Amino acid sequence: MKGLMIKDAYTLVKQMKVFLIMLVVFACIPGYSVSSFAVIYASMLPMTSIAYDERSRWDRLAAMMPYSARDIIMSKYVLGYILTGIAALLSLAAQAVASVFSSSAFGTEYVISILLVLCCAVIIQSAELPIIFRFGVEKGRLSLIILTVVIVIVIMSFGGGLVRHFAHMGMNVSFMTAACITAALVINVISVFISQKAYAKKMQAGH
Amino acid sequence: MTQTQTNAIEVRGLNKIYSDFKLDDISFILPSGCIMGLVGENGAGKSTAINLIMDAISRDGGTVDVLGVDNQSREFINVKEDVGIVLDEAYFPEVLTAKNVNTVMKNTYRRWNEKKYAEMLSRFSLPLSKPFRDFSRGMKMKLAIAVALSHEARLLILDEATGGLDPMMRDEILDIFNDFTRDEDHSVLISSHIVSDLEKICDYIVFLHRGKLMVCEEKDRLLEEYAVLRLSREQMKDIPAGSVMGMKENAFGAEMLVRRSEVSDAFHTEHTTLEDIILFMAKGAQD
Repeated sequence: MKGLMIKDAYTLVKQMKVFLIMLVVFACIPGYSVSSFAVIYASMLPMTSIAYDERSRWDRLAAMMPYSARDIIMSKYVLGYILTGIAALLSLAAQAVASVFSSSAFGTEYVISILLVLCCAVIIQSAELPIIFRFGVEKGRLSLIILTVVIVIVIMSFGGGLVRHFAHMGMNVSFMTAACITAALVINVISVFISQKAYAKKMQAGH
Repeated sequence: MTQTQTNAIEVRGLNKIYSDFKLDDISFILPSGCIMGLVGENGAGKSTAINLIMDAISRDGGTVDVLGVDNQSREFINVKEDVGIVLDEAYFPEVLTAKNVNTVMKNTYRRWNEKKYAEMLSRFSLPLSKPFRDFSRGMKMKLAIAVALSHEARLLILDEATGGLDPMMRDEILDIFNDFTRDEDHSVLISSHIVSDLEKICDYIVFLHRGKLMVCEEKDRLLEEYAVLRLSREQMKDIPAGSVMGMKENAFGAEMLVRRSEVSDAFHTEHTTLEDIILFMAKGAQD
Protein backbone atom coordinates (compact mmCIF):
# COMPACT_ATOMS: atom_id res chain seq x y z
CA MET A 1 0.00 0.00 0.00
CA LYS A 2 2.94 2.33 0.66
CA GLY A 3 3.83 2.37 -3.05
CA LEU A 4 0.25 3.35 -3.93
CA MET A 5 0.26 6.17 -1.39
CA ILE A 6 3.59 7.50 -2.68
CA LYS A 7 2.21 7.39 -6.23
CA ASP A 8 -0.87 9.35 -5.10
CA ALA A 9 1.29 11.87 -3.26
CA TYR A 10 3.42 12.50 -6.36
CA THR A 11 0.32 12.81 -8.55
CA LEU A 12 -1.53 15.21 -6.26
CA VAL A 13 1.48 17.40 -5.51
CA LYS A 14 2.38 17.70 -9.20
CA GLN A 15 -1.15 18.07 -10.58
CA MET A 16 -2.80 20.04 -7.79
CA LYS A 17 0.01 22.28 -6.55
CA VAL A 18 -2.10 25.48 -6.59
CA PHE A 19 -5.10 23.79 -4.95
CA LEU A 20 -2.93 22.26 -2.23
CA ILE A 21 -1.40 25.67 -1.48
CA MET A 22 -4.92 27.15 -1.32
CA LEU A 23 -5.95 24.34 1.02
CA VAL A 24 -3.05 25.15 3.38
CA VAL A 25 -3.84 28.89 3.22
CA PHE A 26 -7.55 28.32 3.94
CA ALA A 27 -6.74 25.93 6.78
CA CYS A 28 -4.44 28.56 8.27
CA ILE A 29 -6.98 31.40 8.16
CA PRO A 30 -8.26 31.72 11.72
CA GLY A 31 -12.00 31.33 12.06
CA TYR A 32 -14.40 28.50 11.74
CA SER A 33 -15.93 28.76 8.26
CA VAL A 34 -12.90 28.97 5.98
CA SER A 35 -10.93 26.32 7.82
CA SER A 36 -14.00 24.03 7.71
CA PHE A 37 -13.98 24.43 3.95
CA ALA A 38 -10.30 23.39 3.86
CA VAL A 39 -10.99 20.22 5.85
CA ILE A 40 -14.00 19.30 3.70
CA TYR A 41 -12.06 20.04 0.51
CA ALA A 42 -9.24 17.76 1.70
CA SER A 43 -11.75 14.90 1.97
CA MET A 44 -12.45 15.22 -1.77
CA LEU A 45 -8.82 14.81 -2.85
CA PRO A 46 -8.94 10.98 -2.84
CA MET A 47 -11.64 11.27 -5.53
CA THR A 48 -9.35 13.56 -7.53
CA SER A 49 -6.62 11.00 -7.19
CA ILE A 50 -8.96 8.25 -8.48
CA ALA A 51 -9.80 10.51 -11.45
CA TYR A 52 -6.10 10.74 -12.31
CA ASP A 53 -5.78 6.94 -11.95
CA GLU A 54 -8.68 6.51 -14.38
CA ARG A 55 -7.12 8.93 -16.83
CA SER A 56 -3.84 7.02 -16.94
CA ARG A 57 -5.67 3.65 -16.58
CA TRP A 58 -3.35 2.91 -13.68
CA ASP A 59 -5.93 0.44 -12.28
CA ARG A 60 -5.25 -1.98 -15.14
CA LEU A 61 -1.58 -2.10 -14.21
CA ALA A 62 -2.19 -2.07 -10.45
CA ALA A 63 -4.47 -5.12 -10.74
CA MET A 64 -1.47 -7.08 -12.04
CA MET A 65 1.00 -5.86 -9.43
CA PRO A 66 1.39 -7.23 -5.90
CA TYR A 67 -1.42 -5.06 -4.51
CA SER A 68 -4.59 -6.64 -3.14
CA ALA A 69 -7.97 -5.07 -3.87
CA ARG A 70 -8.00 -4.12 -0.20
CA ASP A 71 -4.68 -2.27 -0.61
CA ILE A 72 -6.05 -0.33 -3.58
CA ILE A 73 -9.22 0.63 -1.69
CA MET A 74 -7.61 1.40 1.65
CA SER A 75 -4.92 3.57 0.07
CA LYS A 76 -7.64 6.05 -0.97
CA TYR A 77 -9.31 6.05 2.45
CA VAL A 78 -5.98 6.52 4.25
CA LEU A 79 -5.03 9.29 1.83
CA GLY A 80 -8.26 11.08 2.80
CA TYR A 81 -7.65 10.56 6.53
CA ILE A 82 -4.12 11.98 6.26
CA LEU A 83 -5.15 15.02 4.20
CA THR A 84 -8.20 15.92 6.32
CA GLY A 85 -6.12 15.33 9.46
CA ILE A 86 -3.39 17.69 8.23
CA ALA A 87 -5.98 20.36 7.31
CA ALA A 88 -7.62 20.06 10.75
CA LEU A 89 -4.28 20.24 12.58
CA LEU A 90 -3.18 23.27 10.54
CA SER A 91 -6.48 24.92 11.34
CA LEU A 92 -6.08 24.29 15.07
CA ALA A 93 -2.48 25.50 15.01
CA ALA A 94 -3.44 28.67 13.13
CA GLN A 95 -6.23 29.43 15.58
CA ALA A 96 -3.91 28.83 18.53
CA VAL A 97 -1.31 31.21 17.08
CA ALA A 98 -3.98 33.80 16.28
CA SER A 99 -5.30 33.66 19.83
CA VAL A 100 -1.83 34.59 21.15
CA PHE A 101 -1.64 37.74 19.01
CA SER A 102 -5.27 38.81 19.16
CA SER A 103 -8.30 38.51 21.29
CA SER A 104 -9.78 35.68 19.16
CA ALA A 105 -10.85 32.74 21.22
CA PHE A 106 -9.13 29.38 21.19
CA GLY A 107 -10.60 26.83 23.47
CA THR A 108 -12.48 23.61 23.74
CA GLU A 109 -15.35 24.90 21.64
CA TYR A 110 -13.10 25.55 18.63
CA VAL A 111 -11.36 22.19 18.99
CA ILE A 112 -14.71 20.40 19.17
CA SER A 113 -15.99 22.34 16.14
CA ILE A 114 -12.99 21.32 14.04
CA LEU A 115 -13.29 17.76 15.32
CA LEU A 116 -16.93 17.68 14.19
CA VAL A 117 -15.97 19.08 10.79
CA LEU A 118 -13.31 16.38 10.57
CA CYS A 119 -15.99 13.76 11.33
CA CYS A 120 -18.23 15.24 8.61
CA ALA A 121 -15.31 15.26 6.15
CA VAL A 122 -14.56 11.57 6.64
CA ILE A 123 -18.31 10.81 6.45
CA ILE A 124 -18.47 12.66 3.09
CA GLN A 125 -15.48 10.64 1.93
CA SER A 126 -17.07 7.40 3.13
CA ALA A 127 -20.28 8.24 1.24
CA GLU A 128 -18.48 9.13 -1.98
CA LEU A 129 -15.79 6.46 -2.30
CA PRO A 130 -18.08 3.42 -2.77
CA ILE A 131 -19.94 5.30 -5.55
CA ILE A 132 -16.65 6.15 -7.24
CA PHE A 133 -15.26 2.64 -6.87
CA ARG A 134 -18.38 1.19 -8.48
CA PHE A 135 -19.21 3.72 -11.20
CA GLY A 136 -16.00 5.67 -11.71
CA VAL A 137 -15.46 9.40 -11.31
CA GLU A 138 -17.23 10.45 -14.51
CA LYS A 139 -20.49 8.61 -13.81
CA GLY A 140 -20.44 9.30 -10.07
CA ARG A 141 -19.71 13.02 -10.46
CA LEU A 142 -23.27 14.37 -10.19
CA SER A 143 -24.08 12.44 -7.03
CA LEU A 144 -20.81 13.66 -5.53
CA ILE A 145 -21.53 17.31 -6.26
CA ILE A 146 -25.02 17.15 -4.75
CA LEU A 147 -23.87 15.22 -1.70
CA THR A 148 -20.93 17.50 -1.01
CA VAL A 149 -22.89 20.75 -1.46
CA VAL A 150 -25.67 19.57 0.89
CA ILE A 151 -23.25 18.47 3.62
CA VAL A 152 -21.09 21.60 3.36
CA ILE A 153 -24.15 23.91 3.54
CA VAL A 154 -25.46 22.07 6.59
CA ILE A 155 -22.11 22.25 8.36
CA MET A 156 -21.40 25.89 7.45
CA SER A 157 -24.88 26.99 8.46
CA PHE A 158 -25.53 25.01 11.56
CA GLY A 159 -22.29 23.29 12.68
CA GLY A 160 -20.80 25.85 15.09
CA GLY A 161 -24.20 27.18 16.19
CA LEU A 162 -25.42 23.70 16.95
CA VAL A 163 -22.50 23.01 19.26
CA ARG A 164 -23.09 26.34 21.10
CA HIS A 165 -26.80 25.61 21.27
CA PHE A 166 -26.25 22.19 22.81
CA ALA A 167 -23.76 23.72 25.24
CA HIS A 168 -26.30 26.40 26.30
CA MET A 169 -28.95 23.74 26.74
CA GLY A 170 -26.62 22.04 29.16
CA MET A 171 -26.25 18.95 27.01
CA ASN A 172 -23.10 17.00 27.47
CA VAL A 173 -20.87 18.21 24.61
CA SER A 174 -18.28 15.54 25.33
CA PHE A 175 -20.93 12.89 24.89
CA MET A 176 -22.12 14.51 21.62
CA THR A 177 -18.58 14.65 20.31
CA ALA A 178 -17.90 11.05 21.24
CA ALA A 179 -21.15 10.04 19.50
CA CYS A 180 -20.11 11.89 16.31
CA ILE A 181 -16.65 10.29 16.31
CA THR A 182 -18.19 6.85 16.85
CA ALA A 183 -20.69 7.47 14.04
CA ALA A 184 -17.87 8.56 11.69
CA LEU A 185 -15.86 5.44 12.56
CA VAL A 186 -18.80 3.07 12.09
CA ILE A 187 -19.83 4.71 8.79
CA ASN A 188 -16.25 4.42 7.54
CA VAL A 189 -15.99 0.73 8.42
CA ILE A 190 -19.27 0.09 6.57
CA SER A 191 -18.08 2.24 3.67
CA VAL A 192 -14.82 0.26 3.30
CA PHE A 193 -16.87 -2.95 3.24
CA ILE A 194 -19.22 -1.56 0.54
CA SER A 195 -16.25 -0.23 -1.46
CA GLN A 196 -14.72 -3.71 -1.47
CA LYS A 197 -17.97 -5.15 -2.83
CA ALA A 198 -18.26 -2.31 -5.38
CA TYR A 199 -14.68 -2.80 -6.54
CA ALA A 200 -15.21 -6.57 -6.85
CA LYS A 201 -18.29 -5.89 -8.97
CA LYS A 202 -16.29 -3.60 -11.22
CA MET A 203 -13.70 -6.38 -11.54
CA GLN A 204 -16.49 -8.84 -12.37
CA ALA A 205 -17.46 -6.60 -15.28
CA GLY A 206 -13.85 -6.79 -16.46
CA HIS A 207 -13.21 -3.01 -16.29
CA MET B 1 3.64 -30.53 -25.51
CA THR B 2 6.55 -31.66 -23.35
CA GLN B 3 6.19 -30.82 -19.68
CA THR B 4 9.24 -29.92 -17.62
CA GLN B 5 9.29 -30.40 -13.89
CA THR B 6 7.45 -27.16 -13.16
CA ASN B 7 5.23 -25.17 -15.42
CA ALA B 8 5.24 -21.39 -15.41
CA ILE B 9 1.57 -21.21 -16.43
CA GLU B 10 -1.11 -23.89 -16.54
CA VAL B 11 -4.45 -22.84 -17.99
CA ARG B 12 -7.24 -25.41 -18.04
CA GLY B 13 -10.73 -24.95 -19.45
CA LEU B 14 -10.65 -21.17 -19.01
CA ASN B 15 -13.91 -19.36 -19.77
CA LYS B 16 -14.98 -15.73 -19.69
CA ILE B 17 -18.38 -14.65 -20.93
CA TYR B 18 -19.22 -11.07 -21.94
CA SER B 19 -22.43 -9.99 -23.64
CA ASP B 20 -20.67 -9.79 -27.01
CA PHE B 21 -17.67 -12.08 -26.59
CA LYS B 22 -16.77 -15.43 -25.09
CA LEU B 23 -13.37 -16.81 -24.29
CA ASP B 24 -14.20 -20.44 -24.77
CA ASP B 25 -12.58 -23.32 -22.93
CA ILE B 26 -8.93 -22.30 -23.34
CA SER B 27 -6.22 -24.68 -22.14
CA PHE B 28 -2.45 -24.44 -22.50
CA ILE B 29 0.74 -25.00 -20.56
CA LEU B 30 3.84 -22.82 -20.60
CA PRO B 31 6.78 -24.91 -19.34
CA SER B 32 9.46 -23.15 -17.30
CA GLY B 33 12.38 -21.80 -19.26
CA CYS B 34 10.32 -21.33 -22.43
CA ILE B 35 8.85 -18.47 -24.41
CA MET B 36 5.24 -18.78 -25.50
CA GLY B 37 3.67 -16.52 -28.12
CA LEU B 38 0.01 -15.65 -27.87
CA VAL B 39 -1.26 -14.69 -31.29
CA GLY B 40 -4.62 -13.75 -32.74
CA GLU B 41 -6.51 -10.93 -34.40
CA ASN B 42 -7.82 -7.86 -32.53
CA GLY B 43 -10.55 -9.03 -30.19
CA ALA B 44 -9.43 -12.68 -30.32
CA GLY B 45 -9.19 -12.75 -26.54
CA LYS B 46 -5.42 -12.35 -25.96
CA SER B 47 -5.70 -9.49 -23.44
CA THR B 48 -8.69 -11.15 -21.78
CA ALA B 49 -6.62 -14.32 -21.36
CA ILE B 50 -3.73 -12.33 -19.86
CA ASN B 51 -6.09 -10.51 -17.47
CA LEU B 52 -7.56 -13.84 -16.40
CA ILE B 53 -4.11 -15.38 -15.90
CA MET B 54 -3.23 -12.50 -13.55
CA ASP B 55 -6.68 -12.67 -11.92
CA ALA B 56 -7.22 -9.02 -12.83
CA ILE B 57 -10.74 -9.91 -13.96
CA SER B 58 -13.00 -12.65 -12.67
CA ARG B 59 -13.41 -15.83 -14.69
CA ASP B 60 -16.54 -17.83 -15.44
CA GLY B 61 -14.88 -21.23 -15.48
CA GLY B 62 -11.61 -23.13 -15.54
CA THR B 63 -8.44 -22.98 -13.47
CA VAL B 64 -5.18 -21.09 -13.76
CA ASP B 65 -1.92 -21.88 -11.96
CA VAL B 66 0.94 -19.41 -12.20
CA LEU B 67 4.37 -20.59 -11.02
CA GLY B 68 2.66 -23.53 -9.37
CA VAL B 69 0.09 -21.47 -7.43
CA ASP B 70 -3.66 -21.24 -8.04
CA ASN B 71 -4.24 -17.63 -9.12
CA GLN B 72 -7.31 -17.36 -6.89
CA SER B 73 -5.53 -18.48 -3.74
CA ARG B 74 -4.32 -16.08 -1.06
CA GLU B 75 -0.68 -16.90 -1.92
CA PHE B 76 -1.10 -15.50 -5.43
CA ILE B 77 -0.37 -11.96 -4.20
CA ASN B 78 3.18 -13.18 -3.41
CA VAL B 79 3.46 -14.83 -6.83
CA LYS B 80 2.80 -11.43 -8.42
CA GLU B 81 6.20 -10.38 -7.03
CA ASP B 82 7.69 -12.92 -9.44
CA VAL B 83 5.76 -11.75 -12.50
CA GLY B 84 6.98 -8.85 -14.62
CA ILE B 85 4.15 -7.21 -16.53
CA VAL B 86 4.18 -5.08 -19.67
CA LEU B 87 0.77 -4.16 -21.04
CA ASP B 88 -0.15 -2.65 -24.39
CA GLU B 89 0.25 0.81 -22.82
CA ALA B 90 2.49 1.69 -19.89
CA TYR B 91 -0.32 3.13 -17.70
CA PHE B 92 1.89 5.08 -15.30
CA PRO B 93 0.42 8.38 -14.05
CA GLU B 94 1.45 10.99 -16.59
CA VAL B 95 3.17 13.36 -14.15
CA LEU B 96 5.54 10.72 -12.80
CA THR B 97 9.16 10.70 -13.92
CA ALA B 98 11.36 7.61 -14.25
CA LYS B 99 12.90 8.66 -10.92
CA ASN B 100 9.45 8.80 -9.26
CA VAL B 101 8.60 5.38 -10.74
CA ASN B 102 11.72 4.02 -9.01
CA THR B 103 10.46 5.27 -5.61
CA VAL B 104 6.96 3.89 -6.19
CA MET B 105 8.26 0.48 -7.30
CA LYS B 106 10.81 0.34 -4.47
CA ASN B 107 7.82 0.47 -2.15
CA THR B 108 5.81 -2.02 -4.21
CA TYR B 109 8.16 -4.92 -5.02
CA ARG B 110 10.11 -6.54 -2.19
CA ARG B 111 12.98 -7.46 -4.52
CA TRP B 112 13.14 -4.18 -6.44
CA ASN B 113 16.66 -3.80 -7.83
CA GLU B 114 17.47 -0.09 -8.14
CA LYS B 115 20.85 -0.77 -9.72
CA LYS B 116 19.32 -2.92 -12.43
CA TYR B 117 16.59 -0.32 -13.04
CA ALA B 118 19.24 2.39 -13.44
CA GLU B 119 21.12 0.14 -15.89
CA MET B 120 17.96 -0.47 -17.91
CA LEU B 121 17.16 3.26 -18.05
CA SER B 122 20.66 3.95 -19.25
CA ARG B 123 20.52 1.10 -21.80
CA PHE B 124 17.23 2.48 -23.17
CA SER B 125 18.50 6.10 -23.00
CA LEU B 126 15.50 7.10 -20.88
CA PRO B 127 15.64 10.46 -19.06
CA LEU B 128 15.33 10.41 -15.28
CA SER B 129 13.45 13.65 -14.72
CA LYS B 130 11.18 14.00 -17.74
CA PRO B 131 7.45 13.53 -16.98
CA PHE B 132 5.97 10.36 -18.40
CA ARG B 133 3.43 12.36 -20.46
CA ASP B 134 6.28 13.79 -22.53
CA PHE B 135 7.62 10.33 -23.44
CA SER B 136 7.08 8.95 -26.94
CA ARG B 137 5.17 5.67 -27.18
CA GLY B 138 8.43 3.81 -27.66
CA MET B 139 9.92 5.44 -24.55
CA LYS B 140 6.82 4.59 -22.53
CA MET B 141 7.05 0.93 -23.51
CA LYS B 142 10.76 0.90 -22.72
CA LEU B 143 10.04 2.28 -19.25
CA ALA B 144 7.44 -0.43 -18.67
CA ILE B 145 9.93 -3.08 -19.82
CA ALA B 146 12.63 -1.60 -17.55
CA VAL B 147 10.23 -1.90 -14.58
CA ALA B 148 9.24 -5.47 -15.48
CA LEU B 149 12.89 -6.53 -15.63
CA SER B 150 13.97 -4.83 -12.40
CA HIS B 151 12.24 -6.80 -9.67
CA GLU B 152 13.84 -10.22 -10.14
CA ALA B 153 10.79 -11.66 -11.92
CA ARG B 154 10.74 -15.33 -12.92
CA LEU B 155 7.94 -14.90 -15.42
CA LEU B 156 7.39 -12.07 -17.89
CA ILE B 157 3.89 -11.46 -19.24
CA LEU B 158 3.92 -9.08 -22.18
CA ASP B 159 0.79 -7.84 -23.89
CA GLU B 160 1.72 -6.21 -27.21
CA ALA B 161 4.91 -5.02 -25.56
CA THR B 162 6.82 -4.47 -28.80
CA GLY B 163 4.05 -2.47 -30.49
CA GLY B 164 5.10 1.08 -31.35
CA LEU B 165 8.81 0.28 -31.24
CA ASP B 166 11.03 0.68 -34.27
CA PRO B 167 12.48 -2.56 -35.78
CA MET B 168 15.94 -2.04 -34.27
CA MET B 169 14.55 -1.47 -30.80
CA ARG B 170 12.16 -4.42 -31.22
CA ASP B 171 15.12 -6.61 -32.07
CA GLU B 172 17.01 -5.40 -29.01
CA ILE B 173 14.00 -6.01 -26.77
CA LEU B 174 13.49 -9.48 -28.20
CA ASP B 175 17.15 -10.25 -27.44
CA ILE B 176 16.55 -9.13 -23.85
CA PHE B 177 13.58 -11.49 -23.57
CA ASN B 178 15.68 -14.28 -25.07
CA ASP B 179 18.48 -13.63 -22.58
CA PHE B 180 15.92 -13.65 -19.79
CA THR B 181 15.01 -17.28 -20.53
CA ARG B 182 18.63 -18.47 -20.42
CA ASP B 183 17.88 -19.11 -16.78
CA GLU B 184 15.84 -22.34 -16.80
CA ASP B 185 13.61 -20.94 -14.12
CA HIS B 186 12.58 -17.95 -16.28
CA SER B 187 9.68 -17.96 -18.74
CA VAL B 188 7.92 -15.50 -21.02
CA LEU B 189 4.34 -15.24 -22.27
CA ILE B 190 4.17 -12.68 -25.03
CA SER B 191 1.20 -11.59 -27.09
CA SER B 192 1.84 -9.72 -30.29
CA HIS B 193 0.36 -8.86 -33.65
CA ILE B 194 3.83 -8.94 -35.12
CA VAL B 195 4.00 -12.66 -35.88
CA SER B 196 7.54 -12.38 -37.26
CA ASP B 197 8.68 -11.27 -33.78
CA LEU B 198 7.06 -14.32 -32.24
CA GLU B 199 8.58 -16.59 -34.86
CA LYS B 200 12.02 -15.27 -33.92
CA ILE B 201 11.89 -15.98 -30.22
CA CYS B 202 9.04 -18.33 -29.26
CA ASP B 203 9.29 -21.99 -28.32
CA TYR B 204 5.50 -22.43 -28.24
CA ILE B 205 2.64 -20.78 -30.07
CA VAL B 206 -0.92 -20.36 -28.85
CA PHE B 207 -3.28 -19.12 -31.54
CA LEU B 208 -6.62 -17.69 -30.44
CA HIS B 209 -9.35 -16.89 -32.94
CA ARG B 210 -12.67 -15.33 -31.90
CA GLY B 211 -12.19 -16.51 -28.33
CA LYS B 212 -11.39 -20.11 -29.28
CA LEU B 213 -8.08 -21.95 -29.07
CA MET B 214 -7.05 -22.91 -32.59
CA VAL B 215 -3.50 -24.11 -31.97
CA CYS B 216 -1.26 -24.75 -29.01
CA GLU B 217 1.95 -26.28 -30.29
CA GLU B 218 5.72 -26.11 -30.31
CA LYS B 219 6.73 -23.58 -32.95
CA ASP B 220 9.28 -25.83 -34.65
CA ARG B 221 6.73 -28.64 -34.81
CA LEU B 222 4.18 -26.30 -36.35
CA LEU B 223 6.65 -25.25 -39.02
CA GLU B 224 7.54 -28.91 -39.69
CA GLU B 225 3.99 -30.18 -39.67
CA TYR B 226 2.39 -27.63 -41.95
CA ALA B 227 3.22 -26.74 -45.52
CA VAL B 228 1.73 -24.69 -48.34
CA LEU B 229 0.58 -26.30 -51.57
CA ARG B 230 -0.25 -24.48 -54.79
CA LEU B 231 -2.56 -26.62 -56.87
CA SER B 232 -4.77 -26.49 -59.91
CA ARG B 233 -8.47 -27.28 -59.55
CA GLU B 234 -7.92 -30.87 -60.85
CA GLN B 235 -5.06 -31.53 -58.41
CA MET B 236 -7.16 -30.26 -55.50
CA LYS B 237 -9.37 -33.35 -55.72
CA ASP B 238 -6.41 -35.58 -54.77
CA ILE B 239 -5.88 -33.87 -51.42
CA PRO B 240 -7.61 -35.54 -48.46
CA ALA B 241 -10.15 -33.06 -47.06
CA GLY B 242 -9.05 -33.61 -43.45
CA SER B 243 -5.49 -32.52 -44.19
CA VAL B 244 -6.45 -29.05 -45.40
CA MET B 245 -6.30 -26.47 -42.60
CA GLY B 246 -7.11 -23.43 -44.72
CA MET B 247 -7.38 -22.44 -48.34
CA LYS B 248 -7.22 -19.34 -50.56
CA GLU B 249 -8.87 -19.97 -53.90
CA ASN B 250 -8.02 -18.05 -57.06
CA ALA B 251 -8.92 -18.23 -60.77
CA PHE B 252 -6.44 -21.06 -61.51
CA GLY B 253 -6.75 -23.17 -58.40
CA ALA B 254 -5.86 -22.66 -54.80
CA GLU B 255 -3.16 -22.13 -52.23
CA MET B 256 -3.73 -24.33 -49.22
CA LEU B 257 -2.22 -25.03 -45.86
CA VAL B 258 -1.93 -28.79 -45.36
CA ARG B 259 -0.56 -31.26 -42.87
CA ARG B 260 2.62 -32.38 -44.58
CA SER B 261 2.36 -35.94 -43.24
CA GLU B 262 -1.11 -36.46 -44.70
CA VAL B 263 -0.28 -35.40 -48.26
CA SER B 264 1.37 -37.61 -50.87
CA ASP B 265 5.08 -36.99 -51.53
CA ALA B 266 4.13 -36.54 -55.17
CA PHE B 267 3.01 -33.01 -54.37
CA HIS B 268 5.64 -30.33 -54.03
CA THR B 269 5.06 -28.71 -50.64
CA GLU B 270 6.60 -25.36 -49.80
CA HIS B 271 8.10 -24.37 -46.47
CA THR B 272 5.75 -22.03 -44.68
CA THR B 273 6.03 -19.26 -42.11
CA LEU B 274 4.18 -18.84 -38.86
CA GLU B 275 2.35 -15.87 -40.35
CA ASP B 276 1.05 -18.05 -43.24
CA ILE B 277 -0.09 -20.76 -40.83
CA ILE B 278 -1.99 -18.21 -38.73
CA LEU B 279 -3.57 -16.52 -41.77
CA PHE B 280 -4.63 -19.81 -43.39
CA MET B 281 -6.05 -21.17 -40.16
CA ALA B 282 -7.99 -17.97 -39.47
CA LYS B 283 -9.39 -18.11 -42.98
CA GLY B 284 -10.19 -21.81 -42.60
CA ALA B 285 -12.09 -21.08 -39.40
CA GLN B 286 -14.08 -18.28 -41.08
CA ASP B 287 -14.99 -20.49 -44.04
